[in-house]
Amino acid sequence: MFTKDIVFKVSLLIVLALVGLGIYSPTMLSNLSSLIHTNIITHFGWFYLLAAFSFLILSLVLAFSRYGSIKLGKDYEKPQYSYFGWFSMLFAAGMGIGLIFWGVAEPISHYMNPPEQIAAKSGESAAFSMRYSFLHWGLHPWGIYIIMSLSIAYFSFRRGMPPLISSCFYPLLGDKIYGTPGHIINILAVFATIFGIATSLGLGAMQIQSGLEHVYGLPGTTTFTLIIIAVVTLLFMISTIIGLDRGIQLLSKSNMFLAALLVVFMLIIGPTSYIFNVFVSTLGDYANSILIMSLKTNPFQDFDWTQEWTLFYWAWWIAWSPFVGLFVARISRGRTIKEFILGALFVPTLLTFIWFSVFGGSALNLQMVQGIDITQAVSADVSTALFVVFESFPLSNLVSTVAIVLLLVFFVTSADSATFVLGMMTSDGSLKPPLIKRITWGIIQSSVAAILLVAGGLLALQEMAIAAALPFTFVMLLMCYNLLYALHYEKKEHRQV
Amino acid sequence: MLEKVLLPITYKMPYKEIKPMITFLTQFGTQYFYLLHVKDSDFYTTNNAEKWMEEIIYKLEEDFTNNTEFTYKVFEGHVSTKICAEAVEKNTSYIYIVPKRKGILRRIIVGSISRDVIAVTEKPTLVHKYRPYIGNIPDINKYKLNSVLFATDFGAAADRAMYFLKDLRESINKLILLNVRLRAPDPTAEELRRQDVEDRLNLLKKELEPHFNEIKSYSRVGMASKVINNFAEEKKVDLIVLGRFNHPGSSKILGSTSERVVSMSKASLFLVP
Repeated sequence: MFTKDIVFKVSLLIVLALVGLGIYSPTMLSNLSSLIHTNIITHFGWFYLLAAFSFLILSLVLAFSRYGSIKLGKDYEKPQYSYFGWFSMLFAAGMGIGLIFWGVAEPISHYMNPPEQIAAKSGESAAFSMRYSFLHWGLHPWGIYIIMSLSIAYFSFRRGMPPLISSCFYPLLGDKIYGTPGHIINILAVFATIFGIATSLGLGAMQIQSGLEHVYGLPGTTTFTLIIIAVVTLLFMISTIIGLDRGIQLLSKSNMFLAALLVVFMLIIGPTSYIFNVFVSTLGDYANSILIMSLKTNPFQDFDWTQEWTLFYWAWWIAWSPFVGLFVARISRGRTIKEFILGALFVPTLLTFIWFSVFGGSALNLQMVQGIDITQAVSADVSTALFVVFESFPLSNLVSTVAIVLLLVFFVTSADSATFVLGMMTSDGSLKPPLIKRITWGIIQSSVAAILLVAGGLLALQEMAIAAALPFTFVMLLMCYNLLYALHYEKKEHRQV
Repeated sequence: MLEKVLLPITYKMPYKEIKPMITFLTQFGTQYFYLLHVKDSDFYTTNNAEKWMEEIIYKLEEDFTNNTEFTYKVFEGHVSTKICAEAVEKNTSYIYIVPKRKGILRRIIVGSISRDVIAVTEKPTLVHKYRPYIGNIPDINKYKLNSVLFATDFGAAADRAMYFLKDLRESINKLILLNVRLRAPDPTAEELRRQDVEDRLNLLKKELEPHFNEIKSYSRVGMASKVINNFAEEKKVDLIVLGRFNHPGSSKILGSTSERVVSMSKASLFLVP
């Protein structure tokens, strides 16, 4: 009896055990996550960098290889969305709470606290901050998502298998994907997704709380953050139960429109030519240094900085990849591999660069050119970064409120999508997972976010994301092998699937 | 088809080791034995080697009187290259090698002649490993290989190997047909593939049934060299018959299937290039 729904049961047990530990003793959970995190980063930090770089290189190689003409679907299938619709949804998939949170926070953080050999709060640290923001949010995350989504799309749409991570392992495991090895892979994917999403939800809740405190003077306490999580959880649970899929889609599209409006507003009202200068210059910097940055573990100095930022990001993206991968696979059906990779790699990256140039550039302009010190506020609470910047522009309350609404909607839509994905992953790939599973995962992921916040705040969230991502990195590397095997097999057999 | 063999021997190899080899090979219908020694050391001269070879030939001609011919030659140079070149030059039917038992470290440092020959030979090559044991063959007329494994991928290389297989039929008790293939990327394609292989094996079995007493067929999924070796061990096969097809790229680095089989197998290998 236990073997039925085993992925759901085992994943739930593991996560409940952690949730239970967090409730029983937040300190113990914090210590545990720190211990795991320290060991992983010390021994496997280089592995994350190499893996992420490999995924990016493989993506580019596949795009221009003889496999590029293979369709992600049957040969007669056409893409379901126009280019514009497809690009918008790609960007929405990768964007979200994280981009709003870090759009200002990251450049300013690097500007204030660069690696040792760079003088803090200097021109050099400003250039460094933008370059590394581009690195952390640019091609590498999309390389990671592409490998995941390409594998899922190929095996489910072209090979007719269920849309599960374990399906991508059929070449290596054969029918064992329906047994213990397959279950383990799916459980690892669930585990990675839970903690990847929880990190985003936790960051979102923190920033909503900061925004409300900043704009409306509401309390800036952990309790209030937990209330925000509870309220938003209720909202997306209602949408899940009632089945407001169309409403969520509409909300998501409106949110993208609102985000675009915000960018345009900042571009016009903010230091326009400065922003363009930052964009162009950083693009050149990034292109020039991408190889070095990709593999720089800084073993001789600044290893702590690399641990704190780059390694965390690569782990976070890997933890997010099942969630983003499944979504991106679904919307990319009918496209060729080349079209898919080039579109998914460059277009969202470019839009992300624009976002960072606008918000990060505006923040650096305030700090360096206009002499408004925003670093002090950011040092005290990094989640206030965006709102502190808005204070220096017209209609700051309105713009801040728009940002809060953006965060709220992203929270709801991301959480709703996440419950669907988790439900699907624990229901043998069913596109209509049972409601009870979706509700369970919805409550679980919000609980994990809440408990980690209480246990150790932002740091605890980051540490657990890194821990959850390590086993899944191995899974992704093996996934590359399976994908190459299957593509090579197809070409060799010249077989119409 | 196996009338003439090139038999490389090392200097001062005991006659009691050479004689069973000759005895063993005569059961395949081999009548012409071309003994080759390639001098790769300065501890003895070519003259010494030739004198020693003459003594061996003399003894062999005394012991083997029924329609067998023996010749020899001594060369200097690279062993495996000379063996392969001479086999072509003298138009032998096949090459017969008994590899020396070397430890893994020595094999890594010094290399393996049998592997080198396998990699470049243009002539069929019989590499005699642990099985079949030929230390004491009481009655050569009644000697048969217990079981022979024919590994086929239904390709051109396997077709070439099949001609020699039919030639060996008098010496074989049981023939095992084995197809090793890679797994298809999805269950539907895998099932189609499995059925196709089964159909082809049945056809092959029907074609060979008139020539062999007992034939069994099997199909496996996995890496060819590993599966062949494991299967040969499981069934305690005496001889593996294999066609060689040089895959570009990976075989240059990892070695071909036949190279990997010859280095790992305890059963003998008959390779048809």
